[in-house]
Amino acid sequence: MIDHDPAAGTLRVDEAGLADLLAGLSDAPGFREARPTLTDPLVALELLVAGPSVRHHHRLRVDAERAVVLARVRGEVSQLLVLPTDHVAAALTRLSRVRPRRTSRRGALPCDPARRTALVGEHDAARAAALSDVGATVAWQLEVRWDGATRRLLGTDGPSGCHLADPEQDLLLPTTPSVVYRLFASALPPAALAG
Amino acid sequence: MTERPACSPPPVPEGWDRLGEAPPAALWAAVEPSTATGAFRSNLVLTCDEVGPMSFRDWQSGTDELLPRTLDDYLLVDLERLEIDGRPGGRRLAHHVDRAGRALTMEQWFTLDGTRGWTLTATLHTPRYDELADACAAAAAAWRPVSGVRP
Repeated sequence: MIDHDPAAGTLRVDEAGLADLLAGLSDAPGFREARPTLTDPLVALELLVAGPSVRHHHRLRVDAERAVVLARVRGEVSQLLVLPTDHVAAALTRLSRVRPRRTSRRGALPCDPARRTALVGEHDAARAAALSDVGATVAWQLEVRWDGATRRLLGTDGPSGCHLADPEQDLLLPTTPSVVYRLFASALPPAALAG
Repeated sequence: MTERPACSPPPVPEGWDRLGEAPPAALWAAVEPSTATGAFRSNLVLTCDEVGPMSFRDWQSGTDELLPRTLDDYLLVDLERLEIDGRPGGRRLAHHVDRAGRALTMEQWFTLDGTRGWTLTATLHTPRYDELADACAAAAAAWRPVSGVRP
């Protein structure tokens, strides 16, 4: 499926449609400039965003010129967006649903490797249980890969407030949307994009 | 013409310049030195609004309604209550885009003194937010808009 809506200016693709576009078997307005960034990015970001019954895998591919976002909207369908590289922090903030919330703040919460996996895992019941255990309505995991290096962040948000995982202590530590945004603003390694 | 109120600006972040003449509607401004590349110049701007009989809550609710209508691609990230100069105040963090399409991060600190609403606004190019956030936060922490007494 390749669905271009000229009125809305949107391009939506499923995995087969994306494969056809990347292989040059199909074309779509706006895709030509996205192709080199998708096929040969300097930085690849995988963002899992999970609620109790929904789990989306968003992909961002970045080079020095642009960021291409494949924002999953339903099933295997993603919306393709081409953005300036400096818009990545805002894109991550929107996709992960980080925003001000009224919360009953709690302290650090235990979060062992099994819970960290379950929070963004594919198994709905296990994910819903893990989210409930930490008082969250959404969990997100960002993986950033560049030049052989990988960095991962895991966060939760909801009635218990914003938390970030500390894998060394097996804890979810309370934090703020500002801190998460600051991490997103520095998610792209400058050295990876210099050049 | 309305007389400009006397103001107590924050300290200028190290290496930045205080503008001799603040932009229209501002009382004070400091900017990063300009660069040959024409990069966005991070800035701190102090404004004071006459808000009449509005409460702090109404003033800020109005601001929250106004900002998405006046700034492109506006995205509110954080909003918190905090004390500024011994008074109820707050801090807001948001993303928006300028006319050149650059992603900017706006951080505001604000408090109300009678009918005067004081706002200190930092605007930074987002890829440099991590680098500059602490300097702006330090300037805001030392800002005493009402008492004028520096810590």
